[in-house]
Amino acid sequence: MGMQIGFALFNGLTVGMSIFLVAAGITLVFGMLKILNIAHGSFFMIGAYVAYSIIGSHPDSTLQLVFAAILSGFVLAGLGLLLNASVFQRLRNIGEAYSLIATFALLMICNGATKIIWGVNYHSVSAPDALAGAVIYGSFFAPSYSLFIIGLGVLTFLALEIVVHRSSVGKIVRAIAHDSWMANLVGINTSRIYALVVMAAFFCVGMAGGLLLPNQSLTPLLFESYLLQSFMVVIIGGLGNIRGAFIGAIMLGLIEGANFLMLPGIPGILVYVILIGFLLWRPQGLFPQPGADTADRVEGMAETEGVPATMPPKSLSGGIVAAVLVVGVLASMPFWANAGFLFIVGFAMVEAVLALSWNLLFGYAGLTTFGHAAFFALGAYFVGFLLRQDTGIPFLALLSGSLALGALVAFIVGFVAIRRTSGIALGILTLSLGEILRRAISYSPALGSDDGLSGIPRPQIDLGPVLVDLSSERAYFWFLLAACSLVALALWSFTVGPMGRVLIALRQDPVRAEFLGIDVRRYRLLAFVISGAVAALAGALQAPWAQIVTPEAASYLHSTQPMLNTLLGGSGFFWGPIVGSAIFSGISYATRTLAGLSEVVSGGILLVVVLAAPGGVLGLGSRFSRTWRIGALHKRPAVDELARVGKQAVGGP
Amino acid sequence: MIECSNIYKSYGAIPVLKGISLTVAERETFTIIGPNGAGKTTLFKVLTGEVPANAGVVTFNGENITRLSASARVHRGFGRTFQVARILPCNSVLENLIIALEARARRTERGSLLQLRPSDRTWDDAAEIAGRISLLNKVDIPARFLSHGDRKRLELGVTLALKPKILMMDEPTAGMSPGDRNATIDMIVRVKDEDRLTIMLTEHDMDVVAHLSDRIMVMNYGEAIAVGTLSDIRDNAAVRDIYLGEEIGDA
Repeated sequence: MGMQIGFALFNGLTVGMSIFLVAAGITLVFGMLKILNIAHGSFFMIGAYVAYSIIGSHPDSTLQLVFAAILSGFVLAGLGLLLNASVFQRLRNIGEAYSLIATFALLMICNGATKIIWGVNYHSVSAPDALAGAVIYGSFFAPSYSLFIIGLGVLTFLALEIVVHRSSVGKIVRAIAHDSWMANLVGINTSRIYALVVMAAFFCVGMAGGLLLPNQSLTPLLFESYLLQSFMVVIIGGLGNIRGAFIGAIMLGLIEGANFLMLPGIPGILVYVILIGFLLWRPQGLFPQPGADTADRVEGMAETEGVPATMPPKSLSGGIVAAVLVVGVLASMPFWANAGFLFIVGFAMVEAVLALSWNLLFGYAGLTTFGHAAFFALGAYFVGFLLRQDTGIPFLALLSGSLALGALVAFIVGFVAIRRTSGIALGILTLSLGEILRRAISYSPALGSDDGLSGIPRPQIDLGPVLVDLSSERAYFWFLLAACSLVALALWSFTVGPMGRVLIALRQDPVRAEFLGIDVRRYRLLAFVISGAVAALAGALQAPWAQIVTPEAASYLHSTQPMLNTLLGGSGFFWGPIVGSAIFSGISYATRTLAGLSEVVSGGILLVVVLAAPGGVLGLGSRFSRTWRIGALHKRPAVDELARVGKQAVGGP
Repeated sequence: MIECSNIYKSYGAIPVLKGISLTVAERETFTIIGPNGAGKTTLFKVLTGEVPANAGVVTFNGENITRLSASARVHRGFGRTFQVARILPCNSVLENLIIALEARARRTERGSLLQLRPSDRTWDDAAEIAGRISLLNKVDIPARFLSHGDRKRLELGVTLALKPKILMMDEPTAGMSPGDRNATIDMIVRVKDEDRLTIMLTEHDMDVVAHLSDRIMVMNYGEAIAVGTLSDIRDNAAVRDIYLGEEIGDA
């Protein structure tokens, strides 16, 4: 037993050091640019592929491996320089959520490009002979490669520690991280230091890609392997602190080791549980960095961002015509669209509802969560499971049940989470909850484990005298359309009513809202509950449409879908998420046949939207129409009309 | 009206308030002055519930409100304006006022859930307040496009919409031009009279202090140095040391 514990500890340490090697770069970038770089895992993967291209499957010597790793570090550093100039520099002046989405767009582009360049096949790389053996010391034996990784992790930490905390460059770097505006004023060339730090971070991650290549299965899914752990390290360490990251990485590794000993059936779950406890206990991390979390900063909201309308428009006729037109076209689709397209449209409608519910948090209550798919999965599994059991419970009751379930879980989660955390900590907390749910489902045989629940029957609705049979594709599509429209309408009335006005007030300035007598926490919780309930309903509606539910429904990748849809369409508009869902579904339908291309295209569009038009597609539209209105008014307005023109320009009546 | 005793507050290891006690009577204008860093704003934050005190008791109309949240204090009649005006930047002047009016109305009556637009009375009240703060010609302009002085006025209007009993103003004339400053003094005097308000304010400008204050408290390094009328304060030796002694020495 003692042997086993020792071995688990050693393994944990190895894992911890691997995580640190990857997380060092993301920590540097976060500490400096305050950008949580989601694409970091993808850069790690690219680093691994570059190193693979250099050394192939069987490196001859340790030296060759190290050389390839350093070379791949330089390649990534070059890429970092390029991205710093083209992307990161522009992200400094836009809101936190937008920079997250931009890095997510980078993730999609990188993953797509990786698939296109290196293919989707599986490669494996063996350790060089010198590292393939083990060191034996008494009854204890340690794989040489593990010792190599641990040594490198400690070395990297010492190097970064000396540079950041002991050198003159480090002093400048810390000064900028603390207050870049002030640093600029005292004559530091901040742009150059930013570029330097980004390059250093990319060098680290490229090198990590090469060094960790052996014993790794090299596929386009590699980006996931250290991504979430890296986030956790950043959070535990205190948002950008290298020492904290080092300690955090060791902690994570040891927790993984403990998980292996205590819960071998559910690998990886203990980390999330402990992370959640940690976030609730110390949301600011082990070594809080000053000015790291921008959650409570009012200036965090860029001036260009609008808020959704706070009141229903004076005349509803235009909106009604548009709604009837859209619903009419959708309703006619079963008559002319092919089955595959119809299927996608049905998905898009559900995704639109999910995105609407997410935007209730983001655009209205000012909360950014990363785990929204968990509620979706709750609803989907609830309905899917019970439909398969043939319990005889009426379908409408099942849908109401999913609403109630979503609301209940959201209440419990929100009650604790909103009280204790905000900003990035809240984001990571919800992300962790989602991952726990996903893992719990994928290790539950009753819920079909990794394969999920398939063959979910489509239900009938018994309305007393009439029995509506939804078993055909067409019938269920119409039902889906009606249900989604109804939910959208209900949410819209909620947001343009008095409650919507309360939420918009507290999103813009929580302190002002509090001094208007609005109990900020209570209304945030209300938004959280409604949002969770609607997300669960979306899942419940989708289960019989897809007829299959898999644990992927709860994955963080699915959680990002409503975020992407919302920002693409425009979070400052109630209907933005719907527009975004339509556009995204269109893109993925058009590029569906080419592996990798659809990701590159979607990611590219998203990146352009975030950088060029943070208001989303609708924001762009309203900007154009405003310019057009002023232009159409007069070629050159006379002085006495300026007031009127100005009023029109800012959106007056 | 409002009373606090032995308020202590520190940020980390740095003590900011060291045992402040004060009493403000109904319909009085009570001004807190003192050099930068004296703890004026922190005292305001403690009194309004924005941050909790480490020790001490705050009572309002005889009720112990030390542990109440800021919003609960607003319900009991607090109105608060800030050094840098806090308004809702993306909403128009009228929407700012309507949101405040609705926030107040929600406490007294239950509105119908199907009534999406603000009631006619709310619109009228909002327009009336806009008139009182001389922003009637700018009601449709998003607040972020307003000038500094207009923002301050809008914030006052938003606060008045809550029908407060006591108005807590943190540097109401900070950063204003002399003309704006005089207009603001007049406006404060007027609303105090019309709405029968008690006012607490912090201020640096001695002109404003002299015009508005019934009583003045001088703070320095987290302690109250002196409390009294303007002439009491003028004659106080300790206050002179703080305000004049050092400057003469430097010059």
